[in-house]
Amino acid sequence: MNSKQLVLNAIQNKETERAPWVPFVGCHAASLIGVDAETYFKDADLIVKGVTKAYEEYRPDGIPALFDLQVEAEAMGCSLKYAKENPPSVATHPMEEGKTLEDLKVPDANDGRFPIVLDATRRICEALGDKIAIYGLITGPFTLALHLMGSDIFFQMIDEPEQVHKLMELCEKVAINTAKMYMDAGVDIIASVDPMVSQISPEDFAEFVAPYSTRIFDFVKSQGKLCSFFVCGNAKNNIEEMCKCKPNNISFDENIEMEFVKDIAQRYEVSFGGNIKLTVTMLFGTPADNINDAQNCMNTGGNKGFVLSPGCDMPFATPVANVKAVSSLVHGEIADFLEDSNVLDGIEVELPDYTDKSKVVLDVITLDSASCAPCQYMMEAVYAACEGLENVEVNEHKIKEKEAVARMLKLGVKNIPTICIDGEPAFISIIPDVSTLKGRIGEAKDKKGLK
Amino acid sequence: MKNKIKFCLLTGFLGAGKTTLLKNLINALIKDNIRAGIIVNEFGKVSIDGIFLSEVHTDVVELNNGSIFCKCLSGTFLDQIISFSDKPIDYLFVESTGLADPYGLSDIITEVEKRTKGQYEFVGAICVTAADTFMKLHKKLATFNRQIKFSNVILINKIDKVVEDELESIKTVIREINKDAQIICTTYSSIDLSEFNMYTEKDKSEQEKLAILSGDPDAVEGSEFNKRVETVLIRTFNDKAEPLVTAEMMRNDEEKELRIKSFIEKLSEISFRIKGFVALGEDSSLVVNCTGNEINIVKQIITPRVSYELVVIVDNDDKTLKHEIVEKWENIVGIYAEFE
Repeated sequence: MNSKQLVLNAIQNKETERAPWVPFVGCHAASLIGVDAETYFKDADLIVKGVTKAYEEYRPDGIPALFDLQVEAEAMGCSLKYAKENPPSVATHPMEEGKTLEDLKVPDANDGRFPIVLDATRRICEALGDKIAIYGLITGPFTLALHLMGSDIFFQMIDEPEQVHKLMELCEKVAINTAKMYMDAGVDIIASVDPMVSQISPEDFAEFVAPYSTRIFDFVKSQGKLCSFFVCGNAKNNIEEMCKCKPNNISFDENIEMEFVKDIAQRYEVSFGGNIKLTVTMLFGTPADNINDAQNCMNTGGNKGFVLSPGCDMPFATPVANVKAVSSLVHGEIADFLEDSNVLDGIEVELPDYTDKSKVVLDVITLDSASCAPCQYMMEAVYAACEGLENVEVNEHKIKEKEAVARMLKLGVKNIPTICIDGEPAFISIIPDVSTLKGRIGEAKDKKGLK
Repeated sequence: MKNKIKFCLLTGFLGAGKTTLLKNLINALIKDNIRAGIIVNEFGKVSIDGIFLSEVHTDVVELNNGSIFCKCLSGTFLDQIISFSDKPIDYLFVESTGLADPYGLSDIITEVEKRTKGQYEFVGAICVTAADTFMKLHKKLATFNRQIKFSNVILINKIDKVVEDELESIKTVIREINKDAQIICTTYSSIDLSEFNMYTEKDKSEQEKLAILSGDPDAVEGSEFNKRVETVLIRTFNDKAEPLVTAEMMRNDEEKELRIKSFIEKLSEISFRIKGFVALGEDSSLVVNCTGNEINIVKQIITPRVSYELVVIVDNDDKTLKHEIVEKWENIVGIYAEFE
């Protein structure tokens, strides 16, 4: 199954052979090609170059063409403030400046930066669209409404709810038209990115957001394409409401635990994606932290209807090695990655004499059983299987430590966690049940003539 | 050595009176010869606050690219805080948008501490609300309530715009959300520095400060700080109870000391704070004082006691942590212990 199909299947809540990897490379692509974010977002050639570079570096299964939630707002009259290392932000709200709803119109392909954005999207889809899934990101209707009206919208929801509904109707039209333009440009998946829904209660969500979002997703599906509902921030209380809008997929960040989302999403037969931590892990962490975090996400996410991705738009300055570390995990090449990334500093380790007849040695290669859930379960299984057994030595090797990496490479271990019995990888990324493991240890003891 | 810069967060919805409060605060601080820096982050109100605030001759930096607590923007925010660490200021105020969820602050503070080697001290958050819009925002804006929950001081501004009963209802709502915060009622954001508990109570407990910075406020019911962190009390016994490992393994105090240190190191990876005593031998104990990854263990000669206590503050979101601590203690140190 190729990368693209992997994403499409996962988004449709189907089983996949592994979790597809969709790094949300937005403004980070600018840093990959050595330009600032402002220059990047205003130049179709650079956007194509940046996404292509991300494709080469990170070997994703899917990628967004662009991550900029201000394109529609700018085309409708909001002025933007551009930044060197962030996406632009909305600086003025037309309805705060005397514009009325009647003054606002649905932008088309010629407004604002749409000519640039659509050109870039088309070229990205042509170049990469048969290999990987391309996401087209539209501004969610509530976030767009906030861009247009300003934070007065929260008062209007009480004072003049009808006005808010009228504005939401317009935002729905904008979203549908933008989705249509991106689909015409060739994207496979439309994501409605609506972070501002984290600001409101489920009741208000049901009243002011759900009808509009549902129609947007209905439209995308009616065109034979797939759709996702992205949120960020603490939108925990609205996850269920989001599922009720019937997108194919929902995506969320580190503010919400994956177990919580998985439980609800699966009840509604909606697939889900997330949520490698943007700050602590991707921006500030080490490659090992990234492997660890992604491993935990994959462990919880499973292989049905799950997409591995960062929680939101990756920060501009995310270290490339951190993202590559996740790619190596996804592709089962941690060992190669660690070897190439010079973490060893020339450290050498001596493997024990596994032919020593006096004992059987179990080496468990983990990220760290204290923080990586699958590693923890594996260690628990090992301890349970070894309980009461004589002449068995158990060693946990945590690849956070250089010696452990060196040992992992010497043992020929490619994936984590892995149990080696007398130097031979025996259980690779699979946590054996206690009796199976006991059986294998017993065989090893028999070989050495041990009781 | 330079004193730590006191770091204070100011939140509140557009128009509540944050900027006026900030101006008042800074004028008051200047009279006490205290200098402050400001980071302004307002959703869609470019430059107005910044220009207004520069009138009071203070270093002002504006961050207008969305909410600074949005995870994808933390890097920029962090850089700004760090850049202030070299300046001759005593206070750093961060004025943040009414749409910013303050619970995103903890990761940033941890990183700031790591990178500036503890040059900042988080003293708390002030939430500015306006009496006339309070109830509407309370009903419609989830973040508004989260800001109230997070803050040490809640200013009810513009009280002249409501009647007595309305003000009482507002106070009741605040108390329901955050029973511990100080409430100050005022108009025109006018305040007296001596009114602020945060300013006068110089040494607010470390635990409270840390508590503010961690956890999910929606997680558990109960008292405000308990909602956010779990405090685990480990009571260890000085050889009074049966050790879990053989006597030979514990044959000397050095061995024991190494084991305890190793335990604390492991524990520091998963806890916000560890503080207390662990018995070492007949007449000595280890004094433990750790914040985050900063580990401080000192050997001390003391009169022996029967039990020694170690307080560990962990994130209460992770229900397995307590269990993990018990296991670690027993595996690494091998001494009998009780947990509360």
